[in-house]
Amino acid sequence: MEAALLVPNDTFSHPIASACFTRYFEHQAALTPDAIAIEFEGHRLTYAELNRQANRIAHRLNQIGFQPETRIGICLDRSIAAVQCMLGILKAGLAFVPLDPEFPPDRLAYIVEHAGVRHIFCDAGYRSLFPAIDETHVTIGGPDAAEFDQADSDLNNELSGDLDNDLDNDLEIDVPLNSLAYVMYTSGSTGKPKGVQIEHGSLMTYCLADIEVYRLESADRTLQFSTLNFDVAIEEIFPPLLVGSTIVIRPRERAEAAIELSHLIETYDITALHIATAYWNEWVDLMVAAKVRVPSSLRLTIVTGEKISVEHYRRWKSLCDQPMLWCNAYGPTETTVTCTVFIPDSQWDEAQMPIGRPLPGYEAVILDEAMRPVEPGQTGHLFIGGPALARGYLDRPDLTEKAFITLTLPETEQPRRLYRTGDLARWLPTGDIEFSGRVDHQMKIGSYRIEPGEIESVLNLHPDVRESLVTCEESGGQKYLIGNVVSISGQTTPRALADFLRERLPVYMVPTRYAILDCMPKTINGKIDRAALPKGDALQGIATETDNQPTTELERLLVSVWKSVLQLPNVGIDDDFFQMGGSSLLVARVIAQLSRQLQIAVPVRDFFANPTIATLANHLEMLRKGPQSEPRWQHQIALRQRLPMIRALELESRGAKLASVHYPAVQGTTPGRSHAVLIAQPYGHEYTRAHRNLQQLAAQLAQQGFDVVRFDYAGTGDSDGEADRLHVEQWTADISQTVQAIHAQLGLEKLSLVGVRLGANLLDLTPIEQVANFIAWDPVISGKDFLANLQKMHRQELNSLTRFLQVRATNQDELLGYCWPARLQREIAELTWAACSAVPAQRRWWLTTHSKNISNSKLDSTSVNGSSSMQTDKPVRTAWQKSLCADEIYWDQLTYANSAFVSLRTTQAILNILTERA
Amino acid sequence: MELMSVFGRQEHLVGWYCQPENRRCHKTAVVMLTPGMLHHVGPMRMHVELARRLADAGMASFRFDLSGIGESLAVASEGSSLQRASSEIGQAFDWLQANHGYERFILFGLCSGADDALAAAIDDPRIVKLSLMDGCGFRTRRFYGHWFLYKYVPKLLRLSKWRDLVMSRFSGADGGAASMPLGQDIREFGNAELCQSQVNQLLQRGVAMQWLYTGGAIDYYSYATQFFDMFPSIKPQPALDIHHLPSIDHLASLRSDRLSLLELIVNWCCAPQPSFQLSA
Repeated sequence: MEAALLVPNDTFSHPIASACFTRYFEHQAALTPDAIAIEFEGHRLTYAELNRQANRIAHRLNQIGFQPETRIGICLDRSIAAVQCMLGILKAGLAFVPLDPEFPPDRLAYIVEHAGVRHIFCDAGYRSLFPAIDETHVTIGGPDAAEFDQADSDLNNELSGDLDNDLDNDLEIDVPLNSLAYVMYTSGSTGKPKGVQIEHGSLMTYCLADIEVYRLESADRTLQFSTLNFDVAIEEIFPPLLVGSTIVIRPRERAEAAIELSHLIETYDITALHIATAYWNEWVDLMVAAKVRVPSSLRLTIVTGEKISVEHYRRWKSLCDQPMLWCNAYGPTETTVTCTVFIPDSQWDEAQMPIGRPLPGYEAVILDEAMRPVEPGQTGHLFIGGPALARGYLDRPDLTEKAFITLTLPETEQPRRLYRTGDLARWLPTGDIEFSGRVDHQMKIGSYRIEPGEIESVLNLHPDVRESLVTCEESGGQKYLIGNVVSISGQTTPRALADFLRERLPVYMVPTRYAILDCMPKTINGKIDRAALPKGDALQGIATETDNQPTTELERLLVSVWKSVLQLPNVGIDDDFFQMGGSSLLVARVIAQLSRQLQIAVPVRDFFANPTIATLANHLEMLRKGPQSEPRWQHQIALRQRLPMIRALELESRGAKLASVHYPAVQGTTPGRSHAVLIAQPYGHEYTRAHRNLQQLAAQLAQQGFDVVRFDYAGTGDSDGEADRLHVEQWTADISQTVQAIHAQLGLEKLSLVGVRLGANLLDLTPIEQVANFIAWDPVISGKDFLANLQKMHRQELNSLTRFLQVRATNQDELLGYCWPARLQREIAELTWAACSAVPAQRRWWLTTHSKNISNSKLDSTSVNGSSSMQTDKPVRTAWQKSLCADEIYWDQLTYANSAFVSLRTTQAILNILTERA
Repeated sequence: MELMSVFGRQEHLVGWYCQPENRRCHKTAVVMLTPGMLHHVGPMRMHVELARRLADAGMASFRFDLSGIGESLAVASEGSSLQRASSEIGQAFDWLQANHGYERFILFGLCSGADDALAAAIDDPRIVKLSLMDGCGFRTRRFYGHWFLYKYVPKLLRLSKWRDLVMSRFSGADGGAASMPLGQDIREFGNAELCQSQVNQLLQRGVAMQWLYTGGAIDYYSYATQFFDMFPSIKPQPALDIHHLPSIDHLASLRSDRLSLLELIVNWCCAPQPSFQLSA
């Protein structure tokens, strides 16, 4: 065996890329024009059609006259349009830059500026994320768009309705193999992400290797599961398009099935799956718990991202009935995607799973500190070589020089360019490579590679942080980031730090455990003594800082399950599952674990009725022991005492009795603040969707010492009145009457307002004096767009309802089952979020859940900068302090019309604003 | 007149009592249960409209949230979710009995509310009638032919569906959304044998039942007489009022559907004697 340099094993041929990706793709499109290239939510696109659409995009980009390698941003959700854009950009000789809309605005702005992005393709709802990009250089698209909508850009004007056949043809541009294909940003140790530049030659080398090793064939159906800014997406999209197979894009609607991934694979006959290790572990556990088998259609499973748990692999084998090509893939973004792969044979059964051998076209070498090849079995630094290596980091020659070296090895004559992975590894006698850990402190959490320095640099911006160090701990198979912080005042809390980070970093980079220190422990050399840092139980979590500890075995088991599912270090037995971030999807995971560990089936509804460990344990105890068991009421009683004593508030507006609920401040937990909060609800299907969340918000505010009042407008909910007489003036009168009743009946000193969607607009229209805070949660930006979307969803719903083979009809006053009289529709259509509130600027807050959720409402073009004030030339819009809360609330999507959503971050933001400014 | 009430052993349950101006039934009231995770207002305000129509007919009603849903606080723990619902329904009866003198009750439940209603009726002799919308159901041999007929044939025969298919193939156009599906994860009814035994038990006790199956239940109920094929020991009788309403969706989303449905329910609730009707 060659110890130093391992050429790919002999079972593979070594195809060499002779042209750029798009030429190969065009060839494939000509070979199989009618084969289905992409499927998404029932839509299908053939190879010929995909090529045609990509050509049109490429021609238009070409006509604008961008220089080769100009960077073009893509901020699109998984969709057909996203793939069209990628191909179109490549065909035009340009390079795409995936932009994740989930990133904080500052990070996105940095990437756009650093990459020199000249044009952006984005979903309508993401437009506002790029205030620095001129309208003429934005093309609006979306998951439903086969072609991009027309906007005011040169490109869009060109695209509109032009039937020029030339646009359908392949471009004559000769894109060289060393031309830039895309730039993918990863975490950087300096506090800023770094852009990895991948050339066409690298992409093609990888694709050819992928096709060979994974034996891709035209009958394959690959699930496109990853977000576009993650290199797995490259693996999912590009190689399958070179063999005439089909990419099936994961639908937006989350399946209600207990095991969503199995459901997706079975529903769409998926044959090939690329999956992150952490997610694969979870999937295996769920299948074991539910006693279901690996879906029979699946023939290829590629697991990547982290070290494989052999125990999970054994479980997987026991679940798999069909022949399966199962692969453990390894590869940093700098090697395009995967650079080594291990494919265990049926007899394989070792304690550790290696990362295998290099893919065709790749080379691997393990060197010691003196850059000499190590002997087999010795641990050294892993380097990767070959034509699939990245060009380097965009505009960071210093980093590129450090990571990409040129070396002449003793066994070879030619100097070789190698990438320093930063991983330690050793050769096994079998010729495989075994991963041995990281050289530096870079971490891999889930599928994400994280530079702790980037988190530390943000933590150090916190006014109460003198010094910080981010480390990682593994517990129960899960990895957690730990924020070790030296506090200036000693008063900093984990929650405050996490909130601070959430506004500036992606969620996956926010530590969930913290150590608040007086000073960092140091070694004799003055370096931070990492071994002496607090660990395990000495750390504090974010979600709970209480000492409500489990006392029974069952409670301890539940604590363990919740900690694992919620990924929290500390969970108290009185903590509320939903207030700690639990969602219905996480409920399914808890149920799967309980089912496996307790052999007990717990209905979903039990979680809603027993939201704490103490009450759930009591409930499960009764289920296990049967009706003869005596319930332990003390936890229920204790829980009840922490919740408000709900009562009605007497209200009347223009002769109609209004249904209202008053949540008085809970006595004993927090001193009463003499501060009322009025919640103005949305109307229609949004009322149904928001109801549960607003009820939870009200209860939490009451626990914080506020008196909360919610009410139904006349003609809605439980209130008197007929819905066919609804109009805006009545609603604003209802709000005025409620405010008066709050002052008269509750006699509190302060009043804050929280308006949700239309409720925010109505609050803004109502003259209310002496308001302490006005929080507008996703207000309706344009009434016209809001109505148009409502009508669109209504038509969609009608289309699925038939009688005697005819689509059902309704009168124009009915939208999604709710009454929207003509007068009300006219009034709503005239609404704009002018924000002329009488409330002083420093007391107005505009909370927007992710802007994709209001994609049909045109957000203004001002930036969303955490909670800081905005600067704009439109004075009417300057007066709001705006915060982005990354909750998944799809206001404008019918598939979510009747179900509640999780609004943990928005709720927390409201609590923060009101408690800090009370 | 409508009043909000807070009741329950821990004052954690919230409901709305609707009393008619001309109260014709002094001993009987209708109690509406929460469907799935929706609160007491019901889908598209269905429960409120039902309460007001019942009031117009002289019948009082009470709609309330089970613990953990809507306004009711999640502090209960009394056995399985069906047992807990049954207990909380009993607490609602106690409140109505103590405050307004009602002794007999008619339960209306949709989806999981229908499951809760059936379970509660077994436990509580104060229940005299059940109106169950998309309650329990089981596939029979004849089910499949009608399933295909109702679920797929209309799609095959509709030009618009073909057009949508073609459009989606060539232009990626949106084919429209499906109606709100049944929430399988919140359904807890037992097997056919158990349900048949429960229905028999209630019939023997003199409980009248209205079973309404909409098009939303197409995946387990597809033809008018399926009820008697599911439960072969049960024969048509005046105490059973079975309706198959294939053109109405699970939540009766369209106002016209809702109105006809509410009329059916109100008439049945207010009828002095159980009526027998078998409609296609």
